[in-house]
Amino acid sequence: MRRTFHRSTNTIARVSIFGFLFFLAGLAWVMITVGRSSYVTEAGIARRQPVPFSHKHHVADDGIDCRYCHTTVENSSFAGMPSTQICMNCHSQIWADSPMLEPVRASYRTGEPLHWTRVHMQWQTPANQDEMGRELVRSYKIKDARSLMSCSTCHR
Amino acid sequence: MTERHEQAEKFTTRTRLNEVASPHFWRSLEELSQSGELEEIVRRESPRHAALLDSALDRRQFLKLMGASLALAGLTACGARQPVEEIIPYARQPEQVVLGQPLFYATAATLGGYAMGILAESHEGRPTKIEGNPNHPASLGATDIFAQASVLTLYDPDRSQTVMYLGEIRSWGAFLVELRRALAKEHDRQGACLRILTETVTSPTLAAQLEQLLKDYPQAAWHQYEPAARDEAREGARLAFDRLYVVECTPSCTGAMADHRLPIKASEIESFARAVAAGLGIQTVEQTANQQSAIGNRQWVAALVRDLEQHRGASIVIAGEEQPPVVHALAHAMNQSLGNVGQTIIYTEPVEARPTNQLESLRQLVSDMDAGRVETLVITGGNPVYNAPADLHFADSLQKVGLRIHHSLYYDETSALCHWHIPETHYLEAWSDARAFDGTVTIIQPLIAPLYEGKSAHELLAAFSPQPDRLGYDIIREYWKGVRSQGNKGGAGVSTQTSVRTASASQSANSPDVQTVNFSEEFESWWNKSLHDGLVPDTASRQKAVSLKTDWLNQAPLSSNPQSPTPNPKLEILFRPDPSIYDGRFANNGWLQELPKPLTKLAWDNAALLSPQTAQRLGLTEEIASRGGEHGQMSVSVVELNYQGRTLRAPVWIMPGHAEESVTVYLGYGRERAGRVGDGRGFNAYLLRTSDAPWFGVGLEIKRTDDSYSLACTQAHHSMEGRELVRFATVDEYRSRPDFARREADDPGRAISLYPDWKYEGYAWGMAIDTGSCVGCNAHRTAMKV
Ligand code: SF4
Repeated sequence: MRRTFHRSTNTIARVSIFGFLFFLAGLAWVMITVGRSSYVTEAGIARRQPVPFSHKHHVADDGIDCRYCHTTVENSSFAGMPSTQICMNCHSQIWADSPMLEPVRASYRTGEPLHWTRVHMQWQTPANQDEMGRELVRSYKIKDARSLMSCSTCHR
Repeated sequence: MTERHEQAEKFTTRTRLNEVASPHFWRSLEELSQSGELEEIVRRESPRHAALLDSALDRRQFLKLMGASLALAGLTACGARQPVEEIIPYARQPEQVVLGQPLFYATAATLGGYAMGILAESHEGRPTKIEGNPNHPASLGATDIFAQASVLTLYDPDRSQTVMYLGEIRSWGAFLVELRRALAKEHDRQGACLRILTETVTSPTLAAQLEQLLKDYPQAAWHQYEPAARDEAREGARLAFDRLYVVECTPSCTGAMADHRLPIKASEIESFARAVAAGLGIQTVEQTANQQSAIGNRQWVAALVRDLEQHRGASIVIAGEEQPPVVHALAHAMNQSLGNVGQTIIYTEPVEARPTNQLESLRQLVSDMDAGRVETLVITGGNPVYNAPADLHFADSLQKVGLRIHHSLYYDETSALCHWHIPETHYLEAWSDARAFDGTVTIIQPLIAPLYEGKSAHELLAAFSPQPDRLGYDIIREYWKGVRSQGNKGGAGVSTQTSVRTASASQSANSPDVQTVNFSEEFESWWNKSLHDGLVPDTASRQKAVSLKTDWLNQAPLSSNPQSPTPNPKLEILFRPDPSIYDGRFANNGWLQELPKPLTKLAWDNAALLSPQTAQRLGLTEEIASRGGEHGQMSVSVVELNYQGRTLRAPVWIMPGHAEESVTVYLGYGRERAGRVGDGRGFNAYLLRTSDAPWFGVGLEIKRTDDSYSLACTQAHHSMEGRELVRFATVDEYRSRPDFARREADDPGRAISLYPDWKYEGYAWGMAIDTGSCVGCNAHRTAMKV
């Protein structure tokens, strides 16, 4: 009987069927890796902000408690962004003439809020926060996330 | 159920009806007849789908579009970067605001002028949700569908946004100039050609402003009109009493809760009331023979009378709002003779600022307009061009007025026929005050600054005063300051406070400054407390001792002519405010339109309701739409309603439990200028409504047409496909198989899933409704849309 297909067709078929699975897996891996890469997440990119603000300086050097600015962190799903008023509590006295802080003073004078650019995009709904909390408890082996963790455990 | 069952058995257009022998629970006539059509509708009908606001887009198309955009969303999630977003904190953080956590403010929503105390939830200054105020007598912690849906109206982009003159944008200042000019003319003739038309007013401040206006312009007149009075007594009866008897024509939620319900024609209710009254030993006008025959149900009356007599002082007789005066008088007489007055019923001073016969008031206004006696007409609230009785020809008369000003939330039918249109503020945007059914005053505080250029009624009326630019806040406060300092105008309760003040005044009589300081301190604390609590303490009306006039019967002669002994060849027509969109004012609210109406389960439309038997006599049908691809549609006959020379086409709805030979039509539909959601939906029943018979009338003719109409209906949602929710067996069956009820339940036929079972840690959320106490008010369904 005359063969319709060459013998090698079997191999090609096997390779291409299984190969396709590998290809899919590889594709998925590429997509996930790209999705997590700093190219997509833009990690490490410094955003333009109205005022050059440094957490490191305010927290590590000056020793200001997180809750002084993020006032609602302990009783709301949103930690809170400090109002201009809070900035001015100190900066009406120190660096009161610094040109870098002019936008803050302008905001205080006019009542027009500062426009910061968001750096961390993960905006969590309360339900997600629950899930996130559970994840933290699992990976950090902490019984009660609220009482044992300090902000700087994660926010470094 | 048996009664409905009987009714349905008469409905023999379905072939298998007669085979239904054992007790059988059913939810729609199709299910009852098991023609197979129901399964079809359930299969096609997905109970969860998006409400489509735009009629140009059908649901299938919508799903297609949505499917596409969802797929796209999946793709972009992998590759696209996050958009750059801003964080904008406060410059100065307001007190008490915790970002991410709501604040609640006590205020009040009004319907038909009457206030219901609410707590409005606010997120970062935006009202988002309405809850009931547990301390308010009209709320007791609960709300209704209208309050729930009012948040959507607040943000409705179809609301009118600017002052308009003949359809063109103008400024408030330009309006004031024109108004001044008109008022100068009116001033010379003491306001002889000035008329104000409002809806029902219970607001003490607004009433005071109107009285002041009438003092400044003594010849001017204030008219009130609203198409529907509010049904106050609805739910209370069930909660407080063991047994509820309802006699009605159109099936209602109250009727559905009743232990005993008798469907009779609306016009027979008067003779029914007379029969009961006579049974209770109240002397009534002698009954004519045919009236007695009209009361087909002697046993019913006898049983009711017996029950009432056994519960003297612990019963209550309530006449429907739509009933003629004589039925109300009879109800008063019955309550009196049963010793209910003071026990279950209290009488108070009227709560309305100026109780008026509103139809009379409107008729007077129309005749003044026709006679050319009106040169300036201010309509604040309301939409009389759309909802005035048809025989008054309000729109025609209106156009004879020289200067027409309309103040309303939407640029509606009336605005279109007026020169000036002033946008109205939503109640969540403006200061005001209002009374509840028992007189309790709530100061209405806004939660947000007006989104558009709206003015409140107070600010509009201020334009007639020497200080045209006063803010609503100042007007309200000044009024109450006046009340508090005089201590005699605000009704009950102010007196106690005044004595405190008098004491402090006498102490400091020598120094008027100290006195003023004391007063303003006292006022501030009173003001803050009233705002905080959502009600002004001790403002409920005092109970009033009343007695029946001895000659009440002579004043209440038979209102309708007695029916002829032979059944009337003509039908009766009943008008009712729509359960969801009320008198039409909520027509542009998608949440309310999407709400399936109690008992009919229709949405987005109104229909002419009639009983199965009447429908059969007239050869009218309703069928599940077999083709067309739309979900939950019923194809129904269209009829031509002919009443007092006016004709209207309407789809029919066959309603088991409806009284025979009567047709109920719901008001509120057929709007032309409601907005994108409400325009052109349903038919306008106001076109048949006349001022002599606002709620029901005899003499309706029905003509069948060959047309049919598709109605959206959710009645067949969540069919149990034969697995009854309520399981039952006869005693014999029970003896032989005591576990009959559990059998089905034990084997729910679990679906096989690849996923492991979900384990609930901590809370497992669910919602349970005690169907025994549910009255079908639909409030929770509206709330879920928020
Ligand atoms: S459960 Fe019944 S009574 Fe309660 S809100 Fe819903 S419809 Fe109204």
